[in-house]
Amino acid sequence: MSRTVFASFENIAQARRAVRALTSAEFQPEEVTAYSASPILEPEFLPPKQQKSWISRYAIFSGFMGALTGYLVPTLTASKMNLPTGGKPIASDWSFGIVYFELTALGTIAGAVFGLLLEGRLPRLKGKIYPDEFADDLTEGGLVVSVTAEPPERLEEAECLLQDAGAKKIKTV
Amino acid sequence: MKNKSEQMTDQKIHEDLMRPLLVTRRRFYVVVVLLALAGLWGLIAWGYQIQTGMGVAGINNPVFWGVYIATFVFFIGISHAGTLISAILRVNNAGWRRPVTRCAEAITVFALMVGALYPVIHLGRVWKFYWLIPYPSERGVWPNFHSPLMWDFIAINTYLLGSLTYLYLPMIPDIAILRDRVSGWRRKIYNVLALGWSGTPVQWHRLEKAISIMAVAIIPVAVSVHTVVSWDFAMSLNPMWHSTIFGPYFVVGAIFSGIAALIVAMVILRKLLHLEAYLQPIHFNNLGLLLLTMSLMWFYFTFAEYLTTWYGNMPEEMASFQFKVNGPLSPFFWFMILMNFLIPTILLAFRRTRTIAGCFIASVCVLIGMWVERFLIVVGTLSRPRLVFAWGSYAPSWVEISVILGTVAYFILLYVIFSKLFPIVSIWEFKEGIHLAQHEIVEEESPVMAD
Repeated sequence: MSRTVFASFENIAQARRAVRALTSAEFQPEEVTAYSASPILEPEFLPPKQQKSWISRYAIFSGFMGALTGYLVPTLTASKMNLPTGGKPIASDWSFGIVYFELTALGTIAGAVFGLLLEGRLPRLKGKIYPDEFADDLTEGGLVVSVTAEPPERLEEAECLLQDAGAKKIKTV
Repeated sequence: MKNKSEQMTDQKIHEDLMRPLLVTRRRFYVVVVLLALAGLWGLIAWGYQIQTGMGVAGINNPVFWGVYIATFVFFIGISHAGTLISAILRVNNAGWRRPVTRCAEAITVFALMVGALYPVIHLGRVWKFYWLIPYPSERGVWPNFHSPLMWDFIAINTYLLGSLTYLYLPMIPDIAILRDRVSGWRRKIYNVLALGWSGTPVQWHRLEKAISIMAVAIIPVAVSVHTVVSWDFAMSLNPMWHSTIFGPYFVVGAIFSGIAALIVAMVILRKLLHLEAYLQPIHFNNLGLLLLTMSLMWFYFTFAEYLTTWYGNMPEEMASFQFKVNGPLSPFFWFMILMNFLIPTILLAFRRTRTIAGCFIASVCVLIGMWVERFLIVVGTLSRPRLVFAWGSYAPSWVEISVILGTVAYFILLYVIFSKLFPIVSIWEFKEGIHLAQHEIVEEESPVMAD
């Protein structure tokens, strides 16, 4: 059974050093994770593979679906319900254009949120993310790096590497 | 690169911005109780109106839209404080936006929630409101998508949903910090709201991406909302409503009152929550300049609107024009000019008076002036319809005034509770700004050290 080593660092340079050391020691990038209370977008923490995002595509697709809904709902229902229009066409792009537009925007927003939840692997409501004692380190401006040691024999190696990089606190769970 | 002093700064930021959430003084409860009582009074008045009928409101033929609709337009206007301003500043990467955005975005959400109540209140038979919602039913009633009121319903709901999401997404990392810092029932709530946020690089990357997309998508929605509200008026053939510039005129007025609402909220929050280090004079200076710009633009649009009517000299239009400018509503008209143009321009044009106090006074004037403007638009036209025999007048009843006071209290109450539950200044965005600034300084001083 694999175990995870958590280590807190006072600053981003130490955390970066730890991540570099772990990946150099052939820990897989997906086994190494950093946590921070402020954005960390440096390439060491976010390899090119993880930088690829489909959020824009989700937003565009969802926006398109919104536009289609905005077109179909008023147009089809207006024709079916025979509403009085004062001599104007029963389905009119001029007045329905506002509905198309609003639903396109709503679809785009929904797509972006969907993409964030999907790619950010949210929501995750059960289980601890990191041990409680690391929470204060994060709010004080520190970073936490975790590594899943598999096979477990590599546990000690991971701990040593994290210690050498300047870890303030280490815990294995 | 982070150093020791920066860590202290991070810690201080957390302490300063989370203190109002964790420490509750007696003053907070007093404010909440007073606002709740005022809100309750409004609710009682509304209940009385529902039970007795719309006759207890001052509205009647020909003035069938009164202060309810004026206040609806006003609240939808101040909702432009947040999402629009925040999104524009975010898209332009204006660094000074960081402490301002959340105060602003919260105004948007609560102003929309309160503003959207008004068509329901005005409806009288509130239990029939759901007829506006398009869904197949055995009644065979289907809303007419050609109607500007239907556009309103769709636009306001889109903006509300978008703004709520736009407020919530950037709050997730801060809620996660709170989740880790509190215990008891609060922890349970924050745990759900944080969605299991852990702050991994992938999550940060995706969050920034989603926020960027939303910022771009929400700007046209915000503009469309107030344009659609203006079309409630402009699509009719009433004098001084049937105008092609009503859309942009309303949008300008909305941004104008929105910035004013934001400044007022910021000054009060700064004072009560001791946020002097975060909401600094530079923020008020920049927002003051924006307010000045909008004041000038508002005056330009108002002048263009009134000049065109005056120059056209059409009898129906001139009746409404004279009623507002020289007639019974003229004190309101000139008061509006004073509050929306003269006072803000004088106060904000000079650096010496463009202080926090100066911005606050100007903003309060603008909020009052913009409500009066909405009142003049609604009542000024409806009191002077095209047919002379139908001319009439209007004065709001105690029920209408009570409902308005109640909803204003409700709006403030929502804001107060929000600022008690969530950091009113975005912690991570503020920290990010400081880190970026420090990074830039290090890079300038020594490119090698920047690593």
